[in-house]
Amino acid sequence: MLEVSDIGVSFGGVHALRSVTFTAEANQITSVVGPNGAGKTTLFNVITGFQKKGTGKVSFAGHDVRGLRPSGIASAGLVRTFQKTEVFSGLTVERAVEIGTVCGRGFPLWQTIWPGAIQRARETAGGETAAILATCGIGHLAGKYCMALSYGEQRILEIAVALAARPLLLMLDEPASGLNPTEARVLGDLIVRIRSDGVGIVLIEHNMQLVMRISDRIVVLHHGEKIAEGGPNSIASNQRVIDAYLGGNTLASA
Amino acid sequence: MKGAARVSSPVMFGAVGLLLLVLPWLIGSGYYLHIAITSLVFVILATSLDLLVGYSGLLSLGHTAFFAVGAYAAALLYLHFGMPLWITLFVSGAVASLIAWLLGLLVLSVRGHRFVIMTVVFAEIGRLIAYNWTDLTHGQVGLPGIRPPVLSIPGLMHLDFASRPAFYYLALCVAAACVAIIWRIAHSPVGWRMVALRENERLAEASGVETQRIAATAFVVSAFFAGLAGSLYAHYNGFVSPDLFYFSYTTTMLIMVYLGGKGTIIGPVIGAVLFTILPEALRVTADFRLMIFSLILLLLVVFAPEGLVGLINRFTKRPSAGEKPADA
Repeated sequence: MLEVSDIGVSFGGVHALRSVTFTAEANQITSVVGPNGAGKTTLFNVITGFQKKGTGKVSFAGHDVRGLRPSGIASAGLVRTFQKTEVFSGLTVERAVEIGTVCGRGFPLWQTIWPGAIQRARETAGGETAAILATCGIGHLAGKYCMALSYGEQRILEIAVALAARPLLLMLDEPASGLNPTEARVLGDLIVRIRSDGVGIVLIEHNMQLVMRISDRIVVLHHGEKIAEGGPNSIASNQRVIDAYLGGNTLASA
Repeated sequence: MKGAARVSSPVMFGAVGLLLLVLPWLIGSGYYLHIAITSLVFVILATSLDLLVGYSGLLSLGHTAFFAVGAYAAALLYLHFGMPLWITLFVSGAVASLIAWLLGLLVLSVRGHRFVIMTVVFAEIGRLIAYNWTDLTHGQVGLPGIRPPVLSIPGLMHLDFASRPAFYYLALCVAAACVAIIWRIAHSPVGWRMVALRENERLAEASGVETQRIAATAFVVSAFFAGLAGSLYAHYNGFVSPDLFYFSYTTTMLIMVYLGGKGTIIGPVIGAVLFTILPEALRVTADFRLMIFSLILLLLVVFAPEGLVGLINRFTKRPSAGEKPADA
């Protein structure tokens, strides 16, 4: 589904990423882990078009997407969330998701004077919104303003808005950061549910318990380079990963 | 409660419509009707500005420039080629759109205060051109002699819109059509994308909105209606001058949008009517006129931060037409 090959980015001579290659499949949860500064978010930015500079190839669903605008990549089905919480602050939850459903869908200006076109678009958006709110378990928040939600609720909302863009592959940048263990568990269940619905997941996450529980494959970055790749068990026992990053017993206890 | 709201809206709509239709019989065809026509022009300006400021979150202080460009385009097309209002309405809109599109390539690459400043500069440049390109615009002297249109079908009818009530109905139709189209744009997926741009540009882009393009759409569409309003004004007033570019017009439009209730379309309509009538109504207070007007504006800013629409919604406890929370 997603093939990233030989990605390199350097900021003023410092290599943020060096020749990173990995793939992510549909129906799989692929996690990207590594210490702070390993280049995970930079990698996301390169893949989703938010970071223009850099070398290498990104191919999604058979198409080269490097050089496309972020909106174009999102419309192609590769949708991301952000490390720092981003919501449509002044809108209600329902409205935010509803607007999310039309963001990447073509609706040219002239159609606004076409009888019935707006009504049809609104009905479609309404139906999709109800389904997404149910999937994410935030139906009870529908009428609340996004900015009035708790932090944990906002992180779920971000995923709901991302789902509104109809992703084939969803890239989540530290969705569990700042969540308490209960919230993190609920989030993990949601991610698994989304994968079961046929959406591939690429996950950046520091919560190793969560990563180990739900990942199908794990990619480990260190100082901008990929040092390991494999299933949770093989990563947990990988000596290079333990030495470079996890410091011994972290994974063993997970 | 919800049912009552649903019933009262069409009733309200019908009552206002009826009032507008019989207005010339109620207030005569004198100065009051002139104010009514002026407020209809401002209705188009304020609602089109609402698409940009209210929906897209792009604070433009150059809207009056598109109005003036439209007015000049109509004046020149009428004076040199005899084009009637029916044609200049659309040509003026198109000229303003084209300029907005070209200008947008430059100013829409920035946001926030830099965008605001560039729009001010644009309006000022427009004024200087109108002032100094005397061969074309006659400078400060302006361009007089633009006539309202005549609708004539030989042997059947002859309607001269130089008659004020006739022009009132013409302006009413044009304004109603403009507001209806702007309303539809605002409440379509196009308008939703503008709201996404306003609320969070990064998230909008990540969700699939080509933010640069939707910003340009808002800029060009709002300029189209401003230019169209300029044509209507030119044919009604009969005279255009560089004064149309003045910053005070922009201020007036923004007062109408903000104090009417931005991002609601209906708010700027109310704002346009009210803030055209109010300064005139206050003439009875003679020298205190502007002082009292300013005081009213100040009180509104303090007590109705969401504009008049927000104020009305608070008292009728209806769900807000806008998307801003009262607090949170």
